[in-house]
Amino acid sequence: MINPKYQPPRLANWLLTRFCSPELVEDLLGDLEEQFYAHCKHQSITFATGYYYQEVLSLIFSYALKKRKKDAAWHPYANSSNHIVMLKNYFTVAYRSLAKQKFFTIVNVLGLAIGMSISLLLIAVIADVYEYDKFHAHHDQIYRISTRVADPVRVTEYASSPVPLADILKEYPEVEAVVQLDKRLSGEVNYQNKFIPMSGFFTDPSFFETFSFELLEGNPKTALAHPNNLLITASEARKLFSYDDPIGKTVSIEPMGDFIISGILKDHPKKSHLHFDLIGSYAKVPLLENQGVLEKGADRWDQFRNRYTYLKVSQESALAGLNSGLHRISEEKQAINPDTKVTYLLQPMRDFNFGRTIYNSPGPIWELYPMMIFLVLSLLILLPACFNYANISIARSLSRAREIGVRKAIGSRKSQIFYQFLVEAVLVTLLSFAGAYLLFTYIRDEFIGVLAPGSAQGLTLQLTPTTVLFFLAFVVVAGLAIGLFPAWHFAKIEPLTALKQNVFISRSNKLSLRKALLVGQFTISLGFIMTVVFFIDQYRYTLNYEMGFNQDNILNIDLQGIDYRLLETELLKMPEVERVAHSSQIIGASRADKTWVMNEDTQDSSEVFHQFVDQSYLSLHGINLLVGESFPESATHDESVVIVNDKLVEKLLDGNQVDALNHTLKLSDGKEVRIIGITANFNYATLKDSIQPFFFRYQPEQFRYANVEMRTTDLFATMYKVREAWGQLSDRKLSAKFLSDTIGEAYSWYWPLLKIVGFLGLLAISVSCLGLLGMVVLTVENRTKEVGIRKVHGASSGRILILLTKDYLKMITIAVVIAVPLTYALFNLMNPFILKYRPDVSVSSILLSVFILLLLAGATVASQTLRAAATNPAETLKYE
Amino acid sequence: MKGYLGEFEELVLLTIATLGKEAYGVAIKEELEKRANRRISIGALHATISRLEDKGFLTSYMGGATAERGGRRKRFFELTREAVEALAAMKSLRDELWHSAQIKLGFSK
Repeated sequence: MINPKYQPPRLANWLLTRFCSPELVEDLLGDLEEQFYAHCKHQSITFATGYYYQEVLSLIFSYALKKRKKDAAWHPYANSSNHIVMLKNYFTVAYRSLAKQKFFTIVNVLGLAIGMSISLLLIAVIADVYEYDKFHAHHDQIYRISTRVADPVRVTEYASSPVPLADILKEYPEVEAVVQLDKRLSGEVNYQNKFIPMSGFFTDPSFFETFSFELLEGNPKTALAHPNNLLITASEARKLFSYDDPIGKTVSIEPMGDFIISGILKDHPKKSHLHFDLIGSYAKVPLLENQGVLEKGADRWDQFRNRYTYLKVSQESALAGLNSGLHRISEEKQAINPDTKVTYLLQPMRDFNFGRTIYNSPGPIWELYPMMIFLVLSLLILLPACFNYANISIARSLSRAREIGVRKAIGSRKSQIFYQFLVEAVLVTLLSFAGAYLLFTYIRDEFIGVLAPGSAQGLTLQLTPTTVLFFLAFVVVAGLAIGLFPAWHFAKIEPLTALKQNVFISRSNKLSLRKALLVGQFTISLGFIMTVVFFIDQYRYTLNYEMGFNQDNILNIDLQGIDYRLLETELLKMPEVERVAHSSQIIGASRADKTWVMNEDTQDSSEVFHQFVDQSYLSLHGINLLVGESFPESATHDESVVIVNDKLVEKLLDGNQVDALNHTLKLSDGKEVRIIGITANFNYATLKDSIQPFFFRYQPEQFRYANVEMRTTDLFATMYKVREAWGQLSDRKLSAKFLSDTIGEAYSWYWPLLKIVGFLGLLAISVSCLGLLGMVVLTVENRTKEVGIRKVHGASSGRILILLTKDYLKMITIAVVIAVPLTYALFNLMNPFILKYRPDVSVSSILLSVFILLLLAGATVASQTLRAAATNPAETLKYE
Repeated sequence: MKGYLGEFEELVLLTIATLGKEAYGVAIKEELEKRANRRISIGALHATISRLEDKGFLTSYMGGATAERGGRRKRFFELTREAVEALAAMKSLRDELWHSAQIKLGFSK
């Protein structure tokens, strides 16, 4: 008995038909209704309705509905899961479409190859850094003790640690072996009048148990038994001994004395954080320290430079005890001074080469921060290339839309169109990879060349299984990434709209996105150009900077341990030499040494930079005294007076120069010195450092350089004389350089920087210009007929040119408007880390950068539009 | 044999066999609910039926228009030969296991 008063819930039916058209579920709707009325007979209407809803929901999400929809929509074969056949078809179609559009294929492949090359470099570097130290069999058990020193100004971490630590650590049961390394084994190794500079470590036999370094000859257990034993690597042994058998030979290293070669080391792999030519016995260290050849450090907690403590730990789980032990030691041994807190840390081997800044490291460190910059830069090159691919693909949808429409109409599914375009993208990526790899092999050597020699150590960037794996993963990911957007775009094209005559795929909207992408690229390119121009500007500025002292005609001679007075006497005999001064450092070319000055009122100490000089130093360098006088001619060896700079007076002594004169400073070693003169501020260090409190001290034993002022017209002859004078005093080679040259060299790091930024800029610009070229060609192609008609109606070539170029000019203008302030701000933000004293960005350098960009982009656009504008309309219109 | 036959799938097939010419959605559902004494949603039932169709165990045909059900047609289901074979294989496997079972499994009725 059907009661027409009750109806199945219409909302539920509507819901069901939202998901599936009613004719597909006729039987199901019937079933539902039958059930509903059956329920109405025996149950309440509420129950029946609720039940109905439940059933509808269960159907909506069921496989039954999904299957019916699928079956209804497609031909039975479209649903077959034979992907291999389709995959082959995808490749065929992709190949045909790439071959048909050779120009765009070339533009895309070139752009992507350029974009990917720098990413390959990054990947190769990461793979190389990852492989560091992996040749050690126990690499996951090896740890190093690092020392973190926190003083009031900064926290510094050293890879080295004090020697007494080793004895305490040997007591821990979880420590299998402690290896002590002392880096001070270096010098010229002498064998039968052959001198070869080498370096290495003093260490103990546990070195060979812990690390996987091998001995070609000799027993690792006994080779270091005697303090005078010495191991040498095979390649260095060949240099020193030629074809003699090195074992048992005696060599000497000044000033350490004689050593006996007791073994030959296999040359260690390049990807090792430890690099050495020699290995000496650790037993030699205390002997040398007692002889006074090396600075004492065996039982001192405040000496940790160049001494390393490595541990082999039994298992990872034992680290907790060791960490708390180290924490306890840190608490007990605070040796440096009360303001400084020293902490000892356990550092696993995988962190030796990558991550945070660590000083005094035996091997190169790839810091995270520069690596991040590298990553960002390579993305800045790669992403525009990917954009271009998407850009050009979508811009071509006009010609591809019909193809897709036909495919869809004869039964191709959304996913199949999607895959087809993805395969096309992967194919393009593979082609580009070949190009990128070629480029990579070229820039690889350049890259290693511009790196600081220290950090390039062991970096080969050769193909290894890891690298190949990384590359493959990169190509697949890149291919999918660039193909995803176009594939998605094409897959959702409606066959009806695509097949209709005169479709244009929402022109304004898509165009604005493409425009934004182009603008973004030119912003990046202009950013690179501006950076290069700014850097060149800045380099010129630093070379001409007024440092506050005279740097011309001053020759600095490295004393190399000879008595400065003897050299001075010899030099003054020469007529060309006007004056001679002495100093502990070369001014203006490197970071200055520093010390601490106690503050009487506040009980804490301030950091002060200093240099040891003699009486004539200030006048020779033309450093002006504001108040007071220079060091007295008859200065004693007992240091009692100093000359400070104005900054020190300002910062430490309330700025009153008259009061500051004769004021006494208390140095951190307890010495009290009186201020006798105040100089104007000058750049005692490079322009990287700001001017801080600084003072000149007088302590002849600290002199390392003779500063010779010369007046010479014949530099060659004068240098010959200097070399002769030097030859009378020392057997060593003269090491002398003009101050202006040394200061110039202090900025030589500009060149690699310029080279890198310039090269990256070149890549970025190439990528953008290729992208622009693709776009212009498309526009010109699409508007050929329009141009023809306009010309027929009387438009001049000039007007056509403006018409075709206008859009691009607008985009580049926007890019300029964005890039100039952005680069300016970024440059100003980053620059203080590079240089403390720098020029303001000049308007002329901005104009120059913009001009370069306009020139390049303009040439790209004009190359296509000029031709289009000049074409005879009869040519373009005759095909209609 | 084409595909593995699950417990619920087996029940559905047997129910359809029981119903003979009258095997359509609601009938199968009610019969199953009555005999197995469990609540089955129409979605779950049709999902299973669709899977059985995929596996080739069921075919279906539309019946004539009906006065009730708002004039909508019924879809009737039929077992295929494969289904009969699969069910037979299943039964003989079970019988064998029952027969050789070492623990006494019989009901004391």
